[in-house]
Amino acid sequence: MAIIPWRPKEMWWDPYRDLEAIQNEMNRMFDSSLVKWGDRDVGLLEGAWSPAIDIYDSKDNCLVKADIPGMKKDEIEVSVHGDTLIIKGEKKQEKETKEKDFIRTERFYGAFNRAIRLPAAVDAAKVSASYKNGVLELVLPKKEESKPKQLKIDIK
Amino acid sequence: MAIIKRKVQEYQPRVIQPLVNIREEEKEIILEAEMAGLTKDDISLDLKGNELTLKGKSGRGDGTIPKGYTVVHKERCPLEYIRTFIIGEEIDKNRIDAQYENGILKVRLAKSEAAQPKKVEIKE
Repeated sequence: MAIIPWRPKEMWWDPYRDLEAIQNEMNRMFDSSLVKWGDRDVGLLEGAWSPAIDIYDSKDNCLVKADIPGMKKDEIEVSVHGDTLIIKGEKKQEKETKEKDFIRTERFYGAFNRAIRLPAAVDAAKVSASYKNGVLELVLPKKEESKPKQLKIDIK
Repeated sequence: MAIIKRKVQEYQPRVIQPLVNIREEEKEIILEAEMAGLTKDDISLDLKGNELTLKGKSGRGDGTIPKGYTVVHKERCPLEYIRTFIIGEEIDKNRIDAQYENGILKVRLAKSEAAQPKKVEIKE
């Protein structure tokens, strides 16, 4: 029997504790990086912001939703190039206010530009957009040729 | 990918404090809170003593996926907003009004007559 120096019981090496630590780390990683908080995700580029975007897909349409609070309809620019969607805009601070009047400013201002790859090529002429309650909603009908096709194969 | 999709659907609304801008004008204090994707009825504003609490919870929930669609990419999470402000003596508590437009809740807190600057007349 080997001689092991005495240690209090709680300091004994427990393989499961390490495994548990790894599991916790993994869970933390999945929670934090896969679900980003859109415009709250500032770090290196302090002060920069970009809207949080959802992309959904169905048989005939793509649906894109973006949280862009506090803008006017005509300040947002949406364009489609093939299967790339570009949402641009600039959030401006109201002009008549002076800096000294502010007690607290937490909201982000400035330009943003997001280009996203859509799951399929869409018909740019048929895109419909609405901006309501700070949410931009785009319905993008897919092009005929990019719709999923069902091939019927006869079994002989 | 299947794991991620399931996780998104199960997400409970996260409670956060809305970002606010507060500015002071001559006769009022204006508070603007960023709360995107709600409707007017989802927001409540309560005044209790000198505590003004604003709450917002999206009725339809941003976590739900539109019918017939599948998720390709998701960043918007169901959010619940709550924030309390202590308001000062100079605010007239009967003259607070709020407006929700384009995802911004704008609360106007009028200053009471007593708090407004007065001109003192000089007698001869």
